[in-house]
Amino acid sequence: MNMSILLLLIPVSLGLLALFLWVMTWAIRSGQYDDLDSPASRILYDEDADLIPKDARTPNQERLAQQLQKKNSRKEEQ
Amino acid sequence: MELVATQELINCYHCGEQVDGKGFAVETSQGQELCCCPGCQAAARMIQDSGLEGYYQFRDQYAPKPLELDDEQKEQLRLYDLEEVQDRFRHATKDGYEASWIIEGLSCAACVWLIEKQLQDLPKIQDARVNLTTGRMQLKWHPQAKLSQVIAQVKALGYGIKPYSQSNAEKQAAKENRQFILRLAVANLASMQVMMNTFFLTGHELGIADIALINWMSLILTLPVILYSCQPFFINAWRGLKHRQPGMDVPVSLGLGLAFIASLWSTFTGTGETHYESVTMFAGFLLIGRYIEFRARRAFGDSGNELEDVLPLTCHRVVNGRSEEITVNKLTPNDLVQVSPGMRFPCDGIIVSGQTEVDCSYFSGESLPVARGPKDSVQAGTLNLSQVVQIQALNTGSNTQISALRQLMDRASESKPRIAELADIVSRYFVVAVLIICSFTFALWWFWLDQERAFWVALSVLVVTCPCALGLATPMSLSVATTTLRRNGFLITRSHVLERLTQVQNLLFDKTGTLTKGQLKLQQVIPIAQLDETQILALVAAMEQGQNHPIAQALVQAGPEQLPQLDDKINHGQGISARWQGQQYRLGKPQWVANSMPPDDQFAWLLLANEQGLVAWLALSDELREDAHQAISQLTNRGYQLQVLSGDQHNRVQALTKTLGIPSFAADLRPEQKLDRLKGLTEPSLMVGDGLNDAPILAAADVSVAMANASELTRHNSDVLLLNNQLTLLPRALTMAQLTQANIKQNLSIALIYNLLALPAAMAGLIAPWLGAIGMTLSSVVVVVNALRLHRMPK
Repeated sequence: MNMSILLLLIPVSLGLLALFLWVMTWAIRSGQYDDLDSPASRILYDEDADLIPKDARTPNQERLAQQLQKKNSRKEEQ
Repeated sequence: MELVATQELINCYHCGEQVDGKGFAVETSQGQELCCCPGCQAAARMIQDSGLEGYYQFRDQYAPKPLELDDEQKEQLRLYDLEEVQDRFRHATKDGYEASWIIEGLSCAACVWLIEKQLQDLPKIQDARVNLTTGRMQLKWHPQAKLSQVIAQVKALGYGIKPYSQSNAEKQAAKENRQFILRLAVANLASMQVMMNTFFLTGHELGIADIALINWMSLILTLPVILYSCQPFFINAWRGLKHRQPGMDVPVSLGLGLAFIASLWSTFTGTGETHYESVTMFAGFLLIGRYIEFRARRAFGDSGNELEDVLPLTCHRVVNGRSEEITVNKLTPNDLVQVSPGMRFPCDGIIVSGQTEVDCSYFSGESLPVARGPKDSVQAGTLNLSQVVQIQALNTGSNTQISALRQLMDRASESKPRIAELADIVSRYFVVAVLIICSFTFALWWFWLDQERAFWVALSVLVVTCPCALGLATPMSLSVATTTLRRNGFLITRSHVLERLTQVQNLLFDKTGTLTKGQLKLQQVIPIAQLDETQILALVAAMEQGQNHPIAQALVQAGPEQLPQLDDKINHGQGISARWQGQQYRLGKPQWVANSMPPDDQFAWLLLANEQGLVAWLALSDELREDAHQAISQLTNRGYQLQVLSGDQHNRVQALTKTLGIPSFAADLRPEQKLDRLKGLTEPSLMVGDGLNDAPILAAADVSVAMANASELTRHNSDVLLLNNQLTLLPRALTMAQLTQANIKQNLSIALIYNLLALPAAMAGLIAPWLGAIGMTLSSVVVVVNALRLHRMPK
């Protein structure tokens, strides 16, 4: 079996790994790994009730959407 | 149809506590929900109004119970708006300021989300970032922002908040955390790639040049793992050897080092097999275990000043009849200090003027407020409840009784018995055995068999018996069990706990704040004449409404939502008088109301009377935790020796132990007496406590458990923190400890059996390269998989 392709592939893998490590180091230095507990569930806390089409909202979503709009307008005033 | 009326228990919408009486209503999108107290109601309304109702769906634990701030406390918060106060902790940024804060009471990611959203909506607040792992918040604000608003907002949600300047230890821990993650990343990324390389080595017909290339590439990948990721193992092993206490790190380092050196040898000489994949994988697994342990320790974090939450920051000194605010460390003996109700005494002292009640529960375990008048002494850190008093300072700073307690505790922790850990003993014998067998093999080949191969065979013995699996056996089981327990609210901070829990015979409990909630509750109403119980409850709640005193709060909580209108309400210190339906009522201390004596001292008794005579007796006492009965009976059934050690009065402790069915108790104990009780026990013991007076005994006990509401100092001295104050976790954790111990033993057996099988073959020089690699990896994987069985928490 001709394995000369390894001569190319293995150095390439080393290069990729170096790139990964560099990205990882950057991410750690910039503090992205300081809190490992909350980001996992934070992604679930969406506040997008106002993005749901008006006729598709449940009463609960309608209420939340109104609250969000109120909040956003308050922010703009500031 | 069932006709049995079931009384349904309703939990508070906000904090999850049982709702007594009617509760306090909140309108939500799901309809009306009930809260247990006005504080929770206010918090829930605030969350509703700011459109953050999602919090209630996101959270996986109930919220902390908020306390309503009275005007005086709000006034104190204004201090934080002053430039000179802020200067102590803030740093300037481009367009404002920045500071770190400690947030207390965080339980899940939803809390983080709630706080961040609330604060980011406040005017002039630029950014708020809460870190759940460390419980710290980074806040950025515009110079015009009001910090008092930030603090009030967070407090109203039920969380504790205080500014802090990062200590060196904390900076170190943050740096270590980042380093740890980088070490993990290096080891695991490298191990994946090396495994890919090894994949080519097995099962393919390769030329010598190809094998050499693959080996050299693997070597390049393994080098950073050995030099960087594995550094802590080598350093710890060296330290252990230097102090003649070789632990698990010695065989770990030996295994890693030797497998690496053997692989290095064969890479350079082009003969024999390499083990780079085992080295990197082993390092990766071990680092994960270490990191879990490190995180548990860090989550516990201390705020730097352990007495901070017990002693106030500032106090009012009276000089020539004028009161001035000074920081507590400037106080000197003989100073005259004025202490308002709701404040903690800043120093030990003697009351000069004023009559008040003092909450000593943290300090002595006394569950009911104690009356103090002129010439009585008060201790630093106890809470003034009812009236303004002036005290003459006796001991200040490091001479106070609290500091004395601290010294007692430091001495106690030195006497903590040390139990050699199973893994350490095994690994010690193992290292010696491997080294002996190795030299024996070398001698055998050198003198009798084949001199040329002697070195090579000896090395392969070392590598094959590489204690990878052995090194993983204990840490894997421990870290899986620790994580499982932590998820359930049993936070272990020291690694020896699981092992010691299996040896514990005596279970010692504190009373106030541990078996009980440490909060007063109305237990009994005895109507005497004129009014019935419902009328009495409504009347006393109306009379006590707005008073900042634990008794008043308990009575208001017991009363209905609709309160009658009263006139001429006056607080006399000893009690309250008011006019209702043309009658003048007095409620308070029996001596003050009608010059009568309370029936007994098991409860705190109040008397209600009007102009025609006595109306009713009211009895209050500290409320038992809901799950205390269940936990105690489970523990008794398992044959543990239970004992209550309390600083509270004899008959109160007696009554409690009788209800709970605990045979043995001791009351009226001072902290050092509690310590003596512990020393009198021969078998290992576990202590559960919360107060400052428990700190010394907790420091000395074989295993110490602190309640979540314990003082900073007490928590600092405990091995375990009960995050949800759930006593029933104790029996479950004890079971878990036994399961873990069994699991460790299984793992050690697996590792040893593998070694016993591999050793003779290696000594005979018979181990084929692929067999060695599979054997080493498989034994490690089996150990890891077995440890993962501890993922489930026992019922």
